[in-house]
Amino acid sequence: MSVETEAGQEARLDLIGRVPVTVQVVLGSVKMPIADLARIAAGSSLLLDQQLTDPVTVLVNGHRVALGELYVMEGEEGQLAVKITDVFRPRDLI
Amino acid sequence: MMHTGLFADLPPAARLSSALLASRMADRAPQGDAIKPMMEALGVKIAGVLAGLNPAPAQVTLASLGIVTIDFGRRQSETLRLVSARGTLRLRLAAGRDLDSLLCEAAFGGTGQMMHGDPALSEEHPPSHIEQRLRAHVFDAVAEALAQLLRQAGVEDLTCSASRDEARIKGRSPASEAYVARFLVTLFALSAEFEVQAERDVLRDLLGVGADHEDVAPAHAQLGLPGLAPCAVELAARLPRELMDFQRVAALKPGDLLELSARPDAVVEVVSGDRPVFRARLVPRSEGRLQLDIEGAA
Repeated sequence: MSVETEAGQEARLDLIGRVPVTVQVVLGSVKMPIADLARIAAGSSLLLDQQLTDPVTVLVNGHRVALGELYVMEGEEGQLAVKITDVFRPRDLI
Repeated sequence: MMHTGLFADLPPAARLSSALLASRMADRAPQGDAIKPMMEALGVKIAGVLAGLNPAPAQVTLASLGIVTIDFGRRQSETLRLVSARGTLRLRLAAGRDLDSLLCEAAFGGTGQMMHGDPALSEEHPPSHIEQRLRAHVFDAVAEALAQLLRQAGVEDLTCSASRDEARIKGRSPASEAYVARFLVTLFALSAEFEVQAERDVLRDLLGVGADHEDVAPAHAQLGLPGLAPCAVELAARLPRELMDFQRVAALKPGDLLELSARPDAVVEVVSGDRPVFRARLVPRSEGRLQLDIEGAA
């Protein structure tokens, strides 16, 4: 069994660290009868159960990893941002 | 005491504005929309119900206040269902102290003074549940009037549900706009707002209006097994997917700011499970809720 050198380990962690993952933010949800789902078309409106100020969920590769608050960044672009409030530990995910 | 004859023989003072229906969806409604005249007729029926509460012909003035889009999550206690094979129509009458006063005045032939200044009728000393009984009476009369109008419009299989099972009907119908006919009823010296809500899509389905082809069944009727219609699904709104380095997200901790490339007007993905089903735009509502305007299928 070969012993990994410290430099080799760093290189490996660096490689893993640069692996791209998919991040997606869940704003909220709503439950409805499937009959109502069938009526949804362009122009319909859905009202989510959540308030604008309610926590949003951060998914990484489809897994819940954190909760946060939604913000709009200052500046011309005005991108959205999530201020992390809670990070799920493995036991939270069970 | 109810004078059913007044349903057909309204006092001359009962008037109804012709501009009954207007909503932000109105521009999408076909010109020949059968809903508008039906709701106008319902307004006349309501005037008849109110007039009929009074032993003497009452001066009932009815004016429309327009139509608004409503949030079914705010649905309150008194709701009744009209069930048809083509959909379930839900009605609610506005029920407040003003309407209670007006109903009592109508029932007892008062002058508009009885409910004011009488300590026995204050909130701390409710005289009886007469208002509730009157409201229920009016509610049933209006529901039956609407059922009658729908039957006249050709909805033959409509039945009034005897059950007022709130647990079953409390759920919102977010997919549906609503027609809310709001009337200002003035009787003697009292005025009260009177409201009848009906889901726009259900009304249109029931009346068979608005379809591109008359022989096309409503979408929910094409689902097949009818028993599946009440099955609930959960839709979630997600911002666009973004790629980030693993080390960026692995280092996240409370207080960190995760900057996204999406802007507030970004197209949102609406998913069921993990399957995208719709594209939508995010619209913050005045009361703080989040609304999605559907742009189309995913």
